[in-house]
Amino acid sequence: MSRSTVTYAVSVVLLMLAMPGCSKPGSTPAETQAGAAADQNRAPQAGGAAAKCSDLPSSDDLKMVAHGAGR
Amino acid sequence: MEWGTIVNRLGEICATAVATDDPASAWPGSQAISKAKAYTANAYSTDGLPLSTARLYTLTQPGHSLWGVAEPNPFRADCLVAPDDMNATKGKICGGSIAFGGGVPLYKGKTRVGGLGVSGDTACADHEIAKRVRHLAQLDPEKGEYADDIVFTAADGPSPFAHPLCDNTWRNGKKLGDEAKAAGY
Repeated sequence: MSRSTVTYAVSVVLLMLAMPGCSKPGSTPAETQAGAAADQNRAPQAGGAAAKCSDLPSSDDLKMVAHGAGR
Repeated sequence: MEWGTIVNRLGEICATAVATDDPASAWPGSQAISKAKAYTANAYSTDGLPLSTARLYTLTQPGHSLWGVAEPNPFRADCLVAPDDMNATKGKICGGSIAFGGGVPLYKGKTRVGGLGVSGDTACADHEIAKRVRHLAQLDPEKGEYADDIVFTAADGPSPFAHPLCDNTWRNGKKLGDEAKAAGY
């Protein structure tokens, strides 16, 4: 392999590493963990708990429980 | 004498109650505060991250990352009703943002199903009662009844979730101290 061929190959590799598209993902300090927010905010899964008023304590239930909790 | 409000996952009021037969004998202002606490606890929690209103105190102070968070969710004026007309707001989204103790999100398994707001005592006592009501109603977060418990710098060290001590502060059966006295005015 000639010296000029080696020099050309090294130059190509260095050029590729310097291109933004070839840099490692997640290397900038401003980036957050990928997917964390989406996971925190995911919608209820299929079969998840029902969340309508009829699934929650009524006013009478709340009054009774609040009496017990306040003691 | 405590007021309590429950909202569903959408933030709609499902139930309001006061722990006495004479609603006007409890602090009248606490009705609206309990509704705003319930809305806030549901609004700022997710399925995976329970956040009691007690944990918002430091975050919402000037210089912290949620300063100004109350601006976009004001309490609706038509949700201010007489103590004996508490059910007039059922089904409404009353909004409101409260950044002190007394509001906790409600869960069934991994799903956030609503919020509970309690008001009528100190903010620290309101949090304790809200936490107990949630536990008695079996609506704790997946990680347990203390997952979003109130945090005090005096007892726990510096934290972005810290809440000031109130007069006669107790947490989980242990006396922690009293509110700091003001000085200079």
